[in-house]
Amino acid sequence: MNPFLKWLDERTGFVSLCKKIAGWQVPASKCFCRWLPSAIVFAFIIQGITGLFLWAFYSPSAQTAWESVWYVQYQLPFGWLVRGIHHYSAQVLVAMLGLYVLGLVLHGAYRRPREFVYWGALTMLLFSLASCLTGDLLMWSLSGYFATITRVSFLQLLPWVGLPLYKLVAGGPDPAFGTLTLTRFTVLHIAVFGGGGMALMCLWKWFDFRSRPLSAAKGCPHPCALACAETKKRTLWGWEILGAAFSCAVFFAVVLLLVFQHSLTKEMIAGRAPTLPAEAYLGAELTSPADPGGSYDAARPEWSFRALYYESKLPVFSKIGMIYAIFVVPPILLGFFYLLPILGRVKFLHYLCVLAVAALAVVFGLFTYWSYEDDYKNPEHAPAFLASKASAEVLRQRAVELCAAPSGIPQTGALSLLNNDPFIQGPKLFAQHCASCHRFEPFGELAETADFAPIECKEPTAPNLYRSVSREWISGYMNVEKLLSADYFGATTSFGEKGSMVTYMKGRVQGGQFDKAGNFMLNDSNGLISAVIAADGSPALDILTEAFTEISEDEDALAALAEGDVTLLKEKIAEKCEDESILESLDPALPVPVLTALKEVLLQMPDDETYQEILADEENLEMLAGDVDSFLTDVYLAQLNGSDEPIPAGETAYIDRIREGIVAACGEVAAILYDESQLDSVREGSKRSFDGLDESAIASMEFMGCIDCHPFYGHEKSDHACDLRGYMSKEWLKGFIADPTDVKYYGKHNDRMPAYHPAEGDALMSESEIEMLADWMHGAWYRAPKVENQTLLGRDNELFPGVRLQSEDSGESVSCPDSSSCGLPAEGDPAGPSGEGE
Amino acid sequence: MENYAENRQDHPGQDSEEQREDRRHFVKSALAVGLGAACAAVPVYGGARMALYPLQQTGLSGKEYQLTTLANLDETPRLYSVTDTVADAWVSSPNQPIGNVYIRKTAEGEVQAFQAVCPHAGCRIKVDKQKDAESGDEVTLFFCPCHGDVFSLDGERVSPETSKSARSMDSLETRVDEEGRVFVKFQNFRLGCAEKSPV
Repeated sequence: MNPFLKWLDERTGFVSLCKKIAGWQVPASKCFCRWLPSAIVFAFIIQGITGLFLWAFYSPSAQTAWESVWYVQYQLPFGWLVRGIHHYSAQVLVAMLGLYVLGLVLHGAYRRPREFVYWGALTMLLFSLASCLTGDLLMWSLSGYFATITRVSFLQLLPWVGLPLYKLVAGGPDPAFGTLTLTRFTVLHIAVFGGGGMALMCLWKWFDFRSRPLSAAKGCPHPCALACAETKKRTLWGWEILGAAFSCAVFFAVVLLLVFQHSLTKEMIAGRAPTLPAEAYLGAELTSPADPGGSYDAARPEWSFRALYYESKLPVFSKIGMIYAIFVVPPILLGFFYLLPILGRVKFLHYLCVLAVAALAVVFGLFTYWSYEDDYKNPEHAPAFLASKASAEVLRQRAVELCAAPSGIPQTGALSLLNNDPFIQGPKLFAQHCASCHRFEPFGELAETADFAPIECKEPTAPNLYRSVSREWISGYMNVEKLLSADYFGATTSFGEKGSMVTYMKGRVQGGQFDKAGNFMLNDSNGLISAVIAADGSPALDILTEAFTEISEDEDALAALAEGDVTLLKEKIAEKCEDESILESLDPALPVPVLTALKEVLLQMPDDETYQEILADEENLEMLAGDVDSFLTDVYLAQLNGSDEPIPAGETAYIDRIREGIVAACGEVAAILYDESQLDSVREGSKRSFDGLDESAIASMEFMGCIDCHPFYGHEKSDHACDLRGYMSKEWLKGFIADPTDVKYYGKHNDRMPAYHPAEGDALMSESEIEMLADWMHGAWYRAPKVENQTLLGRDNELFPGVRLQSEDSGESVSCPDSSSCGLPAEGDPAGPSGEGE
Repeated sequence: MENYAENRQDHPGQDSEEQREDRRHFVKSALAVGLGAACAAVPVYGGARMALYPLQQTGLSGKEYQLTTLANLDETPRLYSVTDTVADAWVSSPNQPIGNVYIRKTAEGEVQAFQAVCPHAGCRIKVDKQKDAESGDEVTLFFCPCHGDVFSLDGERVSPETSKSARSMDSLETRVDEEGRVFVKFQNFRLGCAEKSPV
């Protein structure tokens, strides 16, 4: 022997031990399950390695536990891999231990002299299960939190000791878990069940070695761990060790498959949410941070506890008491399993035991299957379960987006990011405070967008606020039909049919209506169309008067008109239409779209047959020469206005053109109001013309008559209706929601809307809640940059530095216009995980 | 069969079959160890990359901070605290202290700034009045309380031969804008060595 090895062996005995182990004779059965013990030992080693690395980053407190796990999963290179292996190899380990114990019983290998081998394996299985249970809480995620709190609450079922036990486990009197729960669960998970499991594994192996010579000596038919039909024996050193290594490799391949289960195909990778990094789809799941104030209806135990979960929900236990399902039946079964080696001493009982265990295994399988079936397939339970999972997924994605935002995670923890996020809290607040009256669902031109999901309202009595801060929604005000629909003020008491806004719009803006025969009836002079073209004082009259006065003073022009030549008249009208001094003195002042329409109408008139007949009439021409005003009001413009007579269908072209102009002006007003909604604060100054708002904007508001009632820039004294300065902007909305009865808003006209945060009295919402609601209505929340062309591991986590994995076609581009505002902290940051790849 | 090596020694002439078997066994065991190691290498590699992550991170990048104005300075150094948003693991906290800087204005009106950390072993340097050995006058000096190093107000070691510190105090780049605001480029430097190199 090599002198060094000799020296080492003399002092330690290691070399001889290795040789002894290598020379071991093991039964060479053909059953695959004899490899299980090797894979189990290997799984424990993997758990130890990965657990140690995770431990180095884990921080057990209510504000840091989830965050440190997030850090491991999303920030550390390969954190997701280590965490994923730790999680899934634990699941596979439990399965292997279960199969091993089952195999021991079915093969009869649990009996003497192997009682302790069996007991060791059984206890190892229990410790592994306990490790899974305690580990579930450690990530302090929504699912782990609510699943664990349910489990621990079962302790309260116990008489006398129940409550004290619960307090001891939870680490405090509160029903909610906290930092102390985490610290003790950490110790339980790592030291007691993890370390204890390791120690048990060593004991188990020791018992196994002890049992071998005993088995041989007694001629026991089952000397191996799983004594399958053994024919001959082999030395460990050789095929046996290769087989063991192969079994470890198979175990590890299964674990890796589970780690990558959400990224196995190109379609899966392409289907990832574009705002999430690749780590969100790799390794073990991390749901959103635990929220003691929230809920998670889809909290379920791991697969290994599903049978117990199903058992506890059997109807029989709701009759005789839950305590039997948790604290009587499982301990009895466990006691039976522990007594097996003693019962099995009697041959007859041995067969009974094997039968009973086989039956229990079948029941376990069936219960597990039924439990999943109930959640995913049962038409009564599945929709709620899946909906709860879906809303948890929304939270998970949002939490990941917010944590990766440039502002990072505050000291108060990631939960506070979600609690202050308009995207998450807005719909909740709306559902709580607004949805009893307001609808929130797509209608008309307001199609559904991904930003806003509809919110149910059973009896809508107030406007539908879906995307209410948008051009489309605001322009609905310009249409009486819309205004009277249930989507606007149709269902309100003070703004509906008899509301002054509706009355006003009907009387003035519409300007007239069609009767059943399709004839058009102008409204009285209140109507806007009438106001533009009325025969008694209107812009149309003003311009025509100027033009015809000059014609009437010109003999040649009159003569030409008499002969039916309107060229000169058209020139005159065109000239006057462009005359600034005339245009400026028009009353009412016309916004550009209406003026354009009026010019077109006036220029077309002389070509019209009806008007040519008027001009060809001698009497009319005499009247024109003598009294222009009478000619225009009595004959020329009267044609248009038709006094009280309906204008026959098909002859409303001029009216329609003017109406188009007015509709366009309505659009301008809507645009002005939309601009107001986008302001951070009300514009400074009170003059007509200032930053971003010119005189023509005011003119449109003036023409439409908005500022007769609504305060607006330069017209602050109107106070019959709500202030349009900064209308629907965040500041406006905040003030409005806080107290709609304020004179700035609806004042005494307020319909039924409560004041949510009045200056005096009880507040229904806090200021920050109102702010979140306003931000949400504005769609003002942090938006993560989108990653295009996702790759398997994302762009920052190359498997090896300097080597790029070409798992996808191209896919290195990140759609991020500006790296400094980019949500990915690693983007362009040498400190990030990408730093080593370049 | 208990031990092949001993068998070989006992029967040197008859071991060809056993030797061959031994070799075959060696190949199989090597394969087995390789396979097991390859599997175990995955979590070990991942864990090592996790644990070594700090090596990939860089510290302060030498950002400029406005700390005072020219009007506030005179020849006596004043201590200023530098604050910034600190990313500590996953937590990002605004307005956290990241270091201290001495700033003074020389008689010529030049602005000087020094790291308040002693380049010897990282103690906080203080400003102290000491009696000059020769003249007996009281002079103001930089003084490190840990190992007694003394630096002049220009940051130079007063007695380089006996000084524990291998270099003078670490000066920092300064900039004064038109409005008299004083900016300092804050950096940390490697301790203990003669050369001033940023960390």
